[in-house]
Amino acid sequence: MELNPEDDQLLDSYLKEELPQVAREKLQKRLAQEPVLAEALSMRQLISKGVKPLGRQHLKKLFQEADKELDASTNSTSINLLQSSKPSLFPWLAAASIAILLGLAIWWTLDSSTPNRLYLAHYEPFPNLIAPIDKGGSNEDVLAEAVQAYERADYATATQKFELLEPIEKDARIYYGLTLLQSNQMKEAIAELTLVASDKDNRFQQAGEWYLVLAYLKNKEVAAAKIAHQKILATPNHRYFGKAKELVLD
Amino acid sequence: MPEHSNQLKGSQLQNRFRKEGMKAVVALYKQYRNEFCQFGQRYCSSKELVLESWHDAVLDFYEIVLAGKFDAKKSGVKTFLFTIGKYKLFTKLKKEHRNQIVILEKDSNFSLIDNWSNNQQEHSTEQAEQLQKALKKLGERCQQLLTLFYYHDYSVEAIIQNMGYKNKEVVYSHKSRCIRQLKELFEKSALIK
Repeated sequence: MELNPEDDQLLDSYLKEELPQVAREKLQKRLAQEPVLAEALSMRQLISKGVKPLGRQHLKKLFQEADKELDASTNSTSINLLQSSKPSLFPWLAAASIAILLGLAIWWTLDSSTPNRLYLAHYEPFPNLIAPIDKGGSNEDVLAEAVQAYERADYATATQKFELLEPIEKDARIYYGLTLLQSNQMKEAIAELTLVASDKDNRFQQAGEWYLVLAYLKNKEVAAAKIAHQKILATPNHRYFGKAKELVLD
Repeated sequence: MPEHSNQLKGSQLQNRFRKEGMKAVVALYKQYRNEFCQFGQRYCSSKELVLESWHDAVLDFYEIVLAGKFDAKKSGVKTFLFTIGKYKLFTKLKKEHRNQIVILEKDSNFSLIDNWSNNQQEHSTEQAEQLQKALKKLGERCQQLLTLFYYHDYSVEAIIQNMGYKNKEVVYSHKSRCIRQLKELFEKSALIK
């Protein structure tokens, strides 16, 4: 027999020990009288144990990826230090730099219409309009620190500070979204900017819509960028209408 | 995860894990990883073993926090994590007989970790193992949903965001479907056995 959605949620809250005393006791009585419900609970208890190895395995993989990333950054730092102590490498480095510059120039010319190039050409940092000077609450201090770190392009610190805020204030969400965008956390950035863009009560909603277009471009989601772009172009009094007109998406 | 995470209350950390889950725990892992490697290499020269201990320590810590058993009043996040890591490392060294004279210092956190580890071992019953096999036969999306729900303890909102569901109702109906499929697979395998 199928469990109804209310009972399903009730069992989950019971398992997570979120039910208040009275509700818990009431459910325990029902469990003693209703075998279907009792069976559904024991199935869920079993699943909780059964999914553990899967969950741990997945997290271990993420840890191993983090290890690689951390080891690579440690190694590149040591290589840089070694190289700086060997002046004889200078001609090679100079030649390599020229080659890189040439490559970049060719890439710039040939690749000027790629989504990422469009993103780079149109992205301008959104100004810090909210960093409160008020030192009242600890949360406000962290928020100010987060937005100020964003302003000075210290995105690693900004991310850390934003992560301390729970929940992030409406008006600050755009800064978090842009911080994620600049940190190349594209999926998270798009999710955050989508929240800003779809919230009519957010004073930076229109900015959110514009930066969402740019985020899609940076993430090479051209079709999604076009839809978001069209939405701005369809609103002549949109604050970013002018900028949207300058951006040509074929 | 920022350095301030060391000052977070257990419940705040629990909320963060339930909301941000893996992202938050990986950030925590990275935040102290290099420091733990240096610390661990005081006791053991093998970086692999130290790292394995760190993996296990963060995993156990994650589960302890999610179960609401971490009391931030007794120790900070870093202290607690390093204590688990040290315990894990010593246990591994003991098992491998690399160090015959490993003395576990008296630490109140050790008993919690000890109880936690023993409790987890008791849980790996035959039934649970059978269920794990059935789980692997489920579709990837069902596996992901059930893992997020019942291991990572994600809130429904976090699941919506992570897996792109429309709303809470869709999450619950999909979850019911996955549980029903799992139950069928589980019962079939029990019959075969």
